[in-house]
Amino acid sequence: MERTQVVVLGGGATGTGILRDLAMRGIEVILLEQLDLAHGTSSRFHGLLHSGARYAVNDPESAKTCIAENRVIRKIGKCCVEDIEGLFVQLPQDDPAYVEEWVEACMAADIPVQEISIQEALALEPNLHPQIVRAFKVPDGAIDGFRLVWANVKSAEGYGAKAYTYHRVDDILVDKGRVLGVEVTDLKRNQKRQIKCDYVLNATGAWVAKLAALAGVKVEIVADKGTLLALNHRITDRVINRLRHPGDGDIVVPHGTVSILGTTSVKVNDPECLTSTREEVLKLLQLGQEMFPGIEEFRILRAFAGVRPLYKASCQETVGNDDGRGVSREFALIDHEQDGVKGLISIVGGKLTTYRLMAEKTVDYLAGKIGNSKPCRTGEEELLPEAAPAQIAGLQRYLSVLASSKAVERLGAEVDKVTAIIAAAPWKKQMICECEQVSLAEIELNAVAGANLNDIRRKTRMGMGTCQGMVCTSRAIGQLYESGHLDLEQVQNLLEDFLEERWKGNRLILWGDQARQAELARNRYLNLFNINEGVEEYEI
Amino acid sequence: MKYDVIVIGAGFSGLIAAAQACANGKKVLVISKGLGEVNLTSGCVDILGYLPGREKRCITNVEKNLQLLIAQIPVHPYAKVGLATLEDSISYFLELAGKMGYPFQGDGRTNYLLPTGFGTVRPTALVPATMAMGDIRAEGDVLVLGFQELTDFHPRLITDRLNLIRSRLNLKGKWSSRMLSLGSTGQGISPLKAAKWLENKHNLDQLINRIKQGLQGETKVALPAILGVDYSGDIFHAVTESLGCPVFEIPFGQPTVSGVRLNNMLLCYVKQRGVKVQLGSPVLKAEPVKDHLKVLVDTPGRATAYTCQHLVIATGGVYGKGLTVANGGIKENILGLPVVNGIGLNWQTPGDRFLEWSKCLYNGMGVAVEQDLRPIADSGEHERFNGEWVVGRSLAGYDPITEKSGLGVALATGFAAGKALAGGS
Repeated sequence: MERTQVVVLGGGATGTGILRDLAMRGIEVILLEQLDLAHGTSSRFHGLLHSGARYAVNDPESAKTCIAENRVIRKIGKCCVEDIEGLFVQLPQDDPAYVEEWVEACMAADIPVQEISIQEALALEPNLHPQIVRAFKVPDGAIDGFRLVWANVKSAEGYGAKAYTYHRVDDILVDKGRVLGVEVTDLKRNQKRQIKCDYVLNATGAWVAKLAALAGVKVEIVADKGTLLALNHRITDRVINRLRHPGDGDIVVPHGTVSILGTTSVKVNDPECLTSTREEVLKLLQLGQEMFPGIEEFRILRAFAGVRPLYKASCQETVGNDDGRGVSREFALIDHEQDGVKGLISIVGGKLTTYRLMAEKTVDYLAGKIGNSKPCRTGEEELLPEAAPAQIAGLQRYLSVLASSKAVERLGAEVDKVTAIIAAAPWKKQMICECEQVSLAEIELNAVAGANLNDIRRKTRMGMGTCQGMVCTSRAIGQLYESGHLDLEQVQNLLEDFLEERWKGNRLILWGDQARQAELARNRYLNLFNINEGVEEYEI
Repeated sequence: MKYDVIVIGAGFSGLIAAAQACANGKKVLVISKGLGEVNLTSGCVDILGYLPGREKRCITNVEKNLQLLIAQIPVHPYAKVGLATLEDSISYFLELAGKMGYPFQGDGRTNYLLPTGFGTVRPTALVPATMAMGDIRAEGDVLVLGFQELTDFHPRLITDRLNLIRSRLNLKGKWSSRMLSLGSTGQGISPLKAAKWLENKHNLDQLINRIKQGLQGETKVALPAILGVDYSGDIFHAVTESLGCPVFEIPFGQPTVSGVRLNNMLLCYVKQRGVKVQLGSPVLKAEPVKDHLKVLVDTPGRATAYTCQHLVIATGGVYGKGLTVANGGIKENILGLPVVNGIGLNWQTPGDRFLEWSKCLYNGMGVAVEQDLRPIADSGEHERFNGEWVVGRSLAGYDPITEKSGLGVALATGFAAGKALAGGS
């Protein structure tokens, strides 16, 4: 039977941050994730690396931790942070009194705020509404949640940690008020097994209550759904926030070639309730229009939703009364020894920007219990080693400068593995995903046993560009089949799953060019490839 | 400049309408912004592959099922033009293609079942000679050859899937695959680039030798559809003769080489007949003026005005930009004709599942027309002239993607409008 000192539940930013911290302090640990890494909230948000300015007025404590962590993440996370700044802009209809209050609050929280002229703001961001009244620079950034999580795991694995994805936790084993381990199902092999451990850290975000309940413990959180839109262009070069009380549709974050417009805030009962409505999409656009006139004319790639896990010590009384923005973004550690289960600790609330600090606090607490006195070093060491110039040059022998730099961005020093695959089989330099410049070699590198196309998508960004998988889906499947990575049943399942996943994000925004794109995809898969054919029913 | 007929759109329906009008003595201009969607098709002419609501049941008897179709959907374009006209248009096309040296096989009454580049089977009615040997029901062994350089052609996937299908259908013979190299310098090249490359005799000879060395007594050879962009069939014949066995092409990628060939063949045909074709020219405006129609075209430097007696709207559907979907409505782009949903689905709430065909978004949306393909007069919001005709994908009442009826409807309606407008004046 497998045994370890600590089991971490949840493969999002918090869980993988804890995994890395524990491993770096020499504590034996296994992480369990029910699906793929970052499939939950850590990849379903606007990708903002907070400066804290957004919380300065309502939640000064969060604002302070945000700005401190912002600085740390920029230092250790070059592989996943886009080093940009942010602007807060006030529109004529926004309350001027709030602006004064906000500037003071930012200063109090040590967030550098610099007012710039309207002219300068409009020169920097020409898509902004020309009637803006005031504009302030803040150190907001953009962060890629997939890469952050993945980099944490890679780093932790280097320190001996293990991470098992597609492992669903069915039970937390408790005997006489003491955690003994967990019972899991390996979903890819459909096998049940037990893992013994001394401590279980429940870092499952919006799922935290569900997991705690397995040990018979109650945790109260507010699950707050936010809908976001991915726009096909980089409509700004900076994070743009509306300078008013945080509300719906008041933030745009640029990522690579796309921009994310967010968000809405709706309380939901189930963390898996990720369905957006047409009304939410239209509301976002209408609000976005106030900051960016003509945003309705921009092409939208997809609509998606995530669930924020917000913690409120006594939230039972307030559920249904206020929207999620009234709840603190601070986090809390709950040692369930107080509830009669020794060895189970839940980490609730918080946000992605402060994931590292949450992990540090959690591991400090646990280390104290088990007598480990090693200091936390997660804020000092880079998450992923950067690729050396010679490694980049090595790949550029085979791929274009653009394709090489994209691969280097995604893989860091691991890019050598792609180079080696191509050196052995030169035809594997073919681009499978032209939008995101992903080569066959890189796809194969990620096509580990049992990986589905959505897993590969999260690691490579395949299918996340302009065509939204229209071209590369059939290509990747065909090529992986040729090279023996898939069987026939998988071919059809992967194809259907991937197309359905892309369709989910598309179906609410089908107008303009995106409607044309959908028709093109429908024509390719349902007409030219006839993938839905009934093979048994030929009327011969 | 004056024309009898102006056709907007150079896709299949527009070119067929132009050819017909020209054959009936009309002076015809084709104006188009783009190239139409033929380039994205398999290069075969589909008539009917599935009945709406019976999407798992592949049709082989087209004739019988067309009767059922028009009884089931009276607003279907086939029902508008009538099955006799469809039959005439098929004969017309077969003769036209034969004259151009790019012969098609099939009579439109039954379907071929041809392999796709993804290893599925697709029903289609009229097929170019280069694909005619590919029916999956034919007995005997087949060797499918693939080439490493082609990113979108997967020979092992094709044969493994087809063997499964063929064994379920109790068909004799085995399909096998082999991966070769084209010997071209590039990697990840498109079908068109490969086809161009093969138009060089040295390259072609090299390839034929390489294929010959790999043959192990197979009775039939399948190749990705890259045997020349040119529709002359020269490369296909050279390969067939050298290998000494039947050869057929499997269309793949987009644009498909076979689609481009078909498109080029039709373009050449109408030009040879004296139709003037102006590509890359968006129409700015079209409106009735007294006894004729005025069409304003965006030409380099300045706008050019043309007048005509008949205007054929062959601008395509949502993808072709004949129809534009806005957030809250859908419209026809040239004349602002009202768009209806011919088969009664609510376009604002597309289905949850991409693969549930019949619930997809744009099924059946388009311009509603009379039996003769003139737009149905509406409440008077738009001034109507008697010389407007609508053909092809802009029409309401059918979904070419689920039915597999795209080029068939384009052919029948283009033919009918081209003939009717000439006869009616």
